Amino acid sequence: MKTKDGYLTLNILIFVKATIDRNAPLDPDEIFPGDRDDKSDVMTNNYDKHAIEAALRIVEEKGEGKVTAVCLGSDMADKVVKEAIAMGCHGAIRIENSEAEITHFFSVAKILAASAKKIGEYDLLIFGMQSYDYGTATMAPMVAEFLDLPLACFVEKVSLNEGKITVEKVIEGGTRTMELQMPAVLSIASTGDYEEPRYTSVRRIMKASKTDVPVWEISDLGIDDDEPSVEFDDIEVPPARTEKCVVIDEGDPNELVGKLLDTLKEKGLNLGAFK
Amino acid sequence: MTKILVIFEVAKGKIVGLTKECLTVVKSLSSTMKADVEGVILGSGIGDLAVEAGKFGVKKVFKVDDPQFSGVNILYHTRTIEALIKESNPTLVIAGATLYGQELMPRLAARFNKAMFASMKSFSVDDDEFEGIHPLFEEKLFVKMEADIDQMNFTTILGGNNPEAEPNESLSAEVVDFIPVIQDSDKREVFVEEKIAKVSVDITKAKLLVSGGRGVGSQEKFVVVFDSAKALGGEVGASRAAVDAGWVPYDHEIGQTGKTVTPDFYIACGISGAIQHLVGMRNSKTIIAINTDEEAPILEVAHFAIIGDLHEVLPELVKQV
Repeated sequence: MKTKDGYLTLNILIFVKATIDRNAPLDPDEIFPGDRDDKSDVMTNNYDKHAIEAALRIVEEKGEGKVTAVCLGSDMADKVVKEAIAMGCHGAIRIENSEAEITHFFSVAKILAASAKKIGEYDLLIFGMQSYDYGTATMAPMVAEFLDLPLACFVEKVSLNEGKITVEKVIEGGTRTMELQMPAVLSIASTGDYEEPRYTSVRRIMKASKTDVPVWEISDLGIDDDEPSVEFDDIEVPPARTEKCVVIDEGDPNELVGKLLDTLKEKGLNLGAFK
Repeated sequence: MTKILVIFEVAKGKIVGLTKECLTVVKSLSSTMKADVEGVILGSGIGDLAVEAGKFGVKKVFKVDDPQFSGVNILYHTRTIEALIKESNPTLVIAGATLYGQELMPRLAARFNKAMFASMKSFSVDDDEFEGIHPLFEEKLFVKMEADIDQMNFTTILGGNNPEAEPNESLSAEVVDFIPVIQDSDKREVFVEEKIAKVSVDITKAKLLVSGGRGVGSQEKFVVVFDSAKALGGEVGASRAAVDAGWVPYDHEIGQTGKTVTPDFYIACGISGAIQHLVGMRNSKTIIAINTDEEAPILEVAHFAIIGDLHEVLPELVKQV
């Protein structure tokens, strides 16, 4: 956002999602945080943490700016919003989803685009590269289109230069550098410069819990009610793996390897076949 | 006439493998739907590739051959394919769920105010519906998706679930030049450069792979992986973490942004097992993990695991085999 004196104040919106925790038991009937009663079953979508890291670093490197976390979720997502603040986001907004329970990526993208419009001032909209639960990787591209903004997905590195952002993004076999006019939408890769999101402390989380987070209603965002053209139907559980991993964990390296080779031999497998 | 539009992705001067996997899906769809298959291919100096595209059962190939497309600018691709779709009105637009396809297709779908079939493990057509299976929670669960066939649909196909279609030399398609559409506002995205590693080894043919990840520790320490692979008569693989760290060249990378491998033996050393890596090796016949962490996700796909330091275990393995 350019001010009168031409000085660039950077406003970044970072979109975070609450998903079922990686360590919580998976239940095909309870795949959304709103389905659970126990807050420990819910986590920040892990890919979003790389996105938060990117947003914070862009602001830190520039020396000024503001990062606002935006989260569509039920009150089960409060934890995620607080974690974003604890990591260093300057503010947050939660869009209430307890009643509506909108989970389809097409509808979510419309809501997030509308929330960005309502916020109004932004230079960058930053997303994780995908979600742990649905994993469609559609959010950044769809929001970019609904807002008619430039886009780069799977970004590993960025640099800012007078209203433009230069990004290095992952492609099969290497990287591609693109230059985007801001405002722009990015999805951040889980590799590269933002591979290791910062940790936060209990103290910071305690402090963040006291932050007042405004809660917006979907009905105030003025979304069209177009039904998504593709529907989600039954959830299927893949057949359980029949044989478990044989874990060899006792003994010195000599014994460990000896046990492995004995086990392989019993199964008729010869590791030395290609020497 | 019902039409299917296939987006032919080009990388390193070739039609990419996943596009050919899509063509296998398309072959079955088009015979059920009695649909004509059309293709679009975009780039600069791609005349030969457009002709090659015609050998995959495509009736017509729209060729966008323009110097402005010499570097991949996905916004230019989106705009131009959008114009083509408006003109040709296909029932289905299909591409591989490569990094390119995952960025391009949701943009296209959104332009037509449509949701899409994103990253489909399987995709088929019933009487009046398209249906497919999409993985959730990194393939721990799956969800069925469906849509009415009487509207425009967009889909991306996940790699590794269908064989690549083989070109049929006796087939050819009508190649039609399609004029690129680029608006001034599209210049908000500018291609600068691309860095692609040169490929010197092909690890996809190896019967045995010794593969190293972040747990190896450094470029110097990676020597043990190379030595062990050599001693066991195999090749060296790596996770993206190891490649990104500069310890191993890219042509060794296995996973989402690297190769997909299915050797007889896959020895994963110091690889925790992020899903991006697992998708590239989970179908290996025998997977042996060497890791200090017995909670590492790699153990969920491994058949055997040694809990220990790879720098001690690998030399011992070489000695005893």
